[in-house]
Parts: sequence; structure tokens; C-alpha cells
Amino acid sequence: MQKKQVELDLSDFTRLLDEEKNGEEIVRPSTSFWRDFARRLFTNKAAVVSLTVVAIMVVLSIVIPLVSPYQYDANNLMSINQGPSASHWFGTDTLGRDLWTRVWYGGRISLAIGFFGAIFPALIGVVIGGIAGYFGGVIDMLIMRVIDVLMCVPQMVFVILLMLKFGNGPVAIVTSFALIGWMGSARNVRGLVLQMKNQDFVNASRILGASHLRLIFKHLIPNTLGIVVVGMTMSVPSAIFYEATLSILGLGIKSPLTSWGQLLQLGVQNFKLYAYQLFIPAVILSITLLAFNILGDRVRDALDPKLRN
Amino acid sequence: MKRYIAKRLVISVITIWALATFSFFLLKTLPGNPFQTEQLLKPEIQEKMMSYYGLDKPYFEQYLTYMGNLLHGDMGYSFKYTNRSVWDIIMQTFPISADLGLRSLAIGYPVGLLLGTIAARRRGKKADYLCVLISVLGVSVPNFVIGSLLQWVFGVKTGLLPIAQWKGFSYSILPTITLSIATIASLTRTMRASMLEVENQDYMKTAKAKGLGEKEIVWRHQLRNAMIPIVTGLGPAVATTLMGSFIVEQLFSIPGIGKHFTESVQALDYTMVLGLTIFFGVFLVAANFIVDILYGIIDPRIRITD
Repeated sequence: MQKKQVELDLSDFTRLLDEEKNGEEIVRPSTSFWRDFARRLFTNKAAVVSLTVVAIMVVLSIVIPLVSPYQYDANNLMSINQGPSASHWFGTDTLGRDLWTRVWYGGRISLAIGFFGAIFPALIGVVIGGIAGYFGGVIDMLIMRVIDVLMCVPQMVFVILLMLKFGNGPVAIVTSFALIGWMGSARNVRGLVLQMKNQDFVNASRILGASHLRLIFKHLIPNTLGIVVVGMTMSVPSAIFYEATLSILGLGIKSPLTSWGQLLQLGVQNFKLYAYQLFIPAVILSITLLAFNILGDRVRDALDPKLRN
Repeated sequence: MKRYIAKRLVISVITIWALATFSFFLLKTLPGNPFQTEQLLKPEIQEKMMSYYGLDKPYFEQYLTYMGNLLHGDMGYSFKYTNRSVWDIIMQTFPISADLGLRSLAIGYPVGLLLGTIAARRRGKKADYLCVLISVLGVSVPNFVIGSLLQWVFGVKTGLLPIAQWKGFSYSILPTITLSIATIASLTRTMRASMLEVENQDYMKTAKAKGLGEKEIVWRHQLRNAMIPIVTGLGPAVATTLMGSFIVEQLFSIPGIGKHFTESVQALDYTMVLGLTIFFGVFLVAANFIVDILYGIIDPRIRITD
């Protein structure tokens, strides 16, 4: 085949106009993964509504106990079991404590258990899953076997046993929950790290002499954050739910300290005569759980558009 | 396959051993003893009781004795219910919990599968939104709230149904409904997602392309494949439901195994707590084991290799 010579002379070229000179520059700001996530989340109506509900619950829980004229644990035997009224918006309980104050003080405890109950298991999961996936081999095998064993353990029974050990404050609940809740996120993180650790961007960094720590914390873990965040949003409602269940069984928060579960426990005892003592905390707890559940779904969709159906 | 079963069996045995060992030492390190919570016994009497039951020996010796007895199927005697063995109590309370659990599954599974299928078939329409709403509500509203609401409406306000104890069919209606709502909610969700995922598979297109009718496609291809994740979840779901719900049994005063567990925890009844924990563990492990084996049989794509 004969080689074809391309003949060009100056007349084939034209000068760029001034405004065309920057044609190859990237004009739009690049969107990061998280900014993209936020945009997708905030354009979703259900997500915005549930986020607002959560925000309202948080703000009320912080503010109301501060501004309320009543203390959450102040008995007033002159006004017991009063229905909702102007001076006691949610009424009073069997010891005359103002339920409006108690519900929001309990909200502090319940929501705090929700948040920490989501963060700690995720942290443990990321560290253990990361180690298992990154180092592989015997370490991985051992860790995965331990997880297999722990996954087969009846969770509620285990939490109750741990509560016996740690006592029954909020810290005990979060600790117990963290100790039984980390396996899921450890598995997810391990799987992702296994997938990623031989990809080019990690290899490139390794060749440039990055240490294990740098590889793990700079490259691998940030890439697993998506799945971890999804797991965390999902475990907020289940931590709150655990607290309520334990408290209702009489194994969780105890009076005079309060939480939504503890309020429900007292409410269940008195609901035949004073139904509002049960239904007010029940409604607030349910709305909060509903908001967190919907939010969790939407966060998952927004983080991974592939999962959206 | 044989190797896989053997491996799973070993893991199961280790799981139960680990659970028993861990719970044993956890309970031993707790403050207090089972005789403190009864009527105020003198310290000398408490000590006598402790040595009578062998609770003053070193932990490790107690552990060996307990595990030795456990291998013979002897879980010891309850401290709270004197003269009754733990196994007796389990055999008396478990059927009640299992009865309640089976009833709730018998309602929960068909309804959940039906709602999930309807939601997926009518995707994006009103029926879908309704089913999704039901499932989100069912997941979010805790069962004690649903239970006490039912008690309030049917018991306190209208007096139609008994709200406590376990003496016959009418007593079982409210707890069954309460317990089945969680099953309905989570199944609707899983089934819907699973149906929608199957819809995009190539074999569905093939089925359509070769001219199969709508009915045929849904029944023979979509539903069957969508059931696979449901079957996987069946084991643990059945196990946990049969073991009874702590909350529902407490709320409706049903003398099932869950209520006994809560009570013996509060009474620090070592042998009961330990025995029940191990029983729960064995049940759950067995259920997981069976499902894992079944999984390979149901879904030929997942023939177990290692």
C-alpha cells in the first residue's frame, strides 16, 4: 500500500477568535462525589421532608428542656395524671412530672443513642473490615470466621446479656449495640477493600512508596464511605428501636432518667386509664423512626443510583 | 457439597460452643447472686445456698461441670422456680411461643408476598404507593405501639377481645396480628424489590420475546426467581418468630419462652438465662444451616463450590 502524503499549507488553518481561545478549559466546576450526593438527596421531596422532621426533633430535644419551666425529674404530687392542658402541653405522669419536658428530655437520650449507636458499630466495622480486606490471608480468614460465628448469635439475647454486664444507662445501651452491630459493615467494607486493593490507583500509590496506613486511610477507606454511610443511616432507627425495646422490658433506661422507651414503659402500665401517657411518646417515636427509615432509603438511592429501581 | 456441609457443621458447633462459653463467663462476672433478689436472706444462708449449688467453686471448675452436663442434655435446675429443670420449663413454654409464631407467620407470609407482588406489578400506581406506605409504616411503628393500640381499641374501648393471657383462640387474635405486622412489612418490601430486580433480567426478556403470555411470565419466571431472597431470609425469620417475641409476650402476658427469658434475666436466674440463651442459639444456628443448604438446591446458579 502506498503511503499517502497529506499536503497542508497555511490557508488550511484559520486563526482562533479571541473568545474561542479557552475552548478546552473546563468551565463548569467539577462536582465531587459528596456534592453530587447532596444534590440528588435534596432534590428528593421525601428526603427533604424526613430530614426536616429529624431536624425538628433534634432542635426540640435540645431547646425544650432548657426553656421549660419544669425540670424533667421534678415531681409534683399536687398535679398527677393530668391530661394535656395549657400549663402541661402533654399532661403529667403518675408522679406529676411534666410530660412535655420529659418527652423532649427523653428525646435527647433516645436520639443520642440513635446517633452514637450508628457511629460506633460503623467505626468498629470499618477498622476490622478494612484490616481483614487489606491484609487478607490468615488474618482475613480468622476475622471472617469470627464474624460468621457472631452473625449466628441471637442478637436481642446478646444485647440483654451485655446490658446485664454494663448496667442500664445510655452508655451501656450504645456499648452493647456497638458490640453486636458491627459485623454487617465489617463485611461490606472488607468486600469493597478486597475489590479495590489491586486496582490501578492503589497500585500507583503503592509503587510511589505509600505506607500501609496511607493506603488504607487515604485511598481505601474514603472509597468505602458511601456504603458505610448507608449502613449508618439505616442503623440509627434500629438503635433507637433497641433502646425502646430494652426500656419497655425494664432492662434499659430507668426512671427518673428518661427516654422514649422509658416513657413508653410507664405509658404501657397506665394506658388503660391515661391513654395519652402512652400515645404521645408512641406517636413521637413512630414519626421519628419513620423519618429515619425513609431518609435511610433515600440516602442509599442518592449514594448509589444503580440501586434505585 | 459434602465438604461445604461439613464446614458449615463445624462452624455451627463452634458457634454454639462460643455462645455457651461466652455467656457462661459473662454471667459469672456479674455482681450479685440469684439469692439476693429473693426475700432478704441472711448472708450466711446465701453462702450456704451458693455452696449447695456449687456456685462457690472456681469459675473454670463450674464451667467444666456445666459443659459436661450440657453434653448430656442436662441444663440444670432453675433457681427461681425451685425443683423445675430448665429443660422442663423450655418444653412447657416453647410450644406456646411456637404456636403464636406459627400463627403470625401463617398470616404474615401470604399477606406480605401478596402485597409485595401487587406493588411490583402496579409499580408507580396508587396500589404501589399504598403497599409501600403500609410496609414503611409497619417497619417504623414499633410492635409494642401497635400492640398497645390494638389493646386499647379492642380491649379497653370496645371490650371485644381479651388483651392478656393465653387461654384460647380469642386470646391469640391480638398478639398474632401484632406479631404478623412486622413480617408483613418487611416481606412486602423485600418481595417488591426482588420482583423489580427480576423484571430487568435477560431471561424475562427471553420469555417475552418467545411470546409467552403475561400470566405465564409472571408465574413461571418472575415469581419463582423473586422468591429466592425470600427463602434465604426464611430460616432466621422462622427461627426468631418461633422463639417468641420478648415484647409481644410481655405486653399480652403470654407465658412463652420470651417472657421467661426476660423474667429470669431480671431475677439473675443463671441456669435459666444460660439454658435459654443456648436454646435460642441452637435454634437459630440450625435454621441458618438448613437454609444455607437449601439455597444451593433451590438456586442452581449458586452451586456451592468450596
